[in-house]
Amino acid sequence: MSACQSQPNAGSSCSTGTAPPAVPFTLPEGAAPITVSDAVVSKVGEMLTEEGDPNLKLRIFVTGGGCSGFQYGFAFDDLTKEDDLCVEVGAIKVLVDASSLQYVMGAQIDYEENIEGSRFVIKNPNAASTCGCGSSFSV
Amino acid sequence: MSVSVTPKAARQIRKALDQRGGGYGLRVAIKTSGCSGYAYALEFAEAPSPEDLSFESEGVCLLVDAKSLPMVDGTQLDWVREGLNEGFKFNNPNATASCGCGESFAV
Repeated sequence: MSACQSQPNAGSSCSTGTAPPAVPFTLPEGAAPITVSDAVVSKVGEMLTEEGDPNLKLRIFVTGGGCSGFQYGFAFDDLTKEDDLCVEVGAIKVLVDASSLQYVMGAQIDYEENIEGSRFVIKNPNAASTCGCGSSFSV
Repeated sequence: MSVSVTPKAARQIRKALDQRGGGYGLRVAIKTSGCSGYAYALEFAEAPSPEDLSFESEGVCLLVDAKSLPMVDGTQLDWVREGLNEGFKFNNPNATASCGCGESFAV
C-alpha cells in the first residue's frame, strides 16, 4: 500500500499540504469527539443484517501507510477494548481506540457511493494533507 | 489494443446500468491528476462518441477514447471488496507505479 513512496515525482494532489505542521486540532468545548452521518448508520445497519450479527460494531482505526503517511481503516469488531471510545448513533455503535482517536478527534465519518465504488470516508480536521482518494493523510 | 473486465466487474456494470435506467456502456478515460501523474475517470455513456473505440467484454460494452487507449491497453477492470469498502480496480500492465488506493498511476 506504500507504492506511492517509490514514485520520485509524486506531486499534485498528494502534496496539497505544504504548510508547516499546524497547531494540533483542539476540540471545541462540548463538541462530539467524532460524528457519524445518517448514511453510515443505515449502511452499517444493512451490513450487520447481512452478517447476521447485530452485536458487531464499526471500528475505525489509523495505521501507518499510504502516500501521506497515515491511513484509515474500517472493520467490524465484536469486542470493545478498555481504551476504546464507543459512540452510539441510532442502532449502531462506532469504536475508536485511544491511539487512533488522537488523529481523528473531531472527524466526521461518512459513507459515499458513486460510479467508482462505495466506501467509508473521514473528514478529518487533523489532516494537513490528504491523498487523492482520501484513504491516506498526513498531520 | 483492448481493455476488458472480470465477470465481477461486468456484473457490477450491468447492475449500475440497470439502476440508472440503461445506457450504452462504461467509458474509461485518463486524466492527469493524482499523486502518480494520471488518474482514471469512469462514466456511463448513452452512446459512443466519434473518438471512442468500443470493446465488448463479458457481455458489457467499454468505451475508451483514442487518446487514452495507449495508456490503458491491456487493462482489466475488476470489482473488489477491500475490508468494508468496494469498488473498481484497474489492473493496468502499463502502470509502473500507482498510488496506495489505486486511484492514481504513472506510466
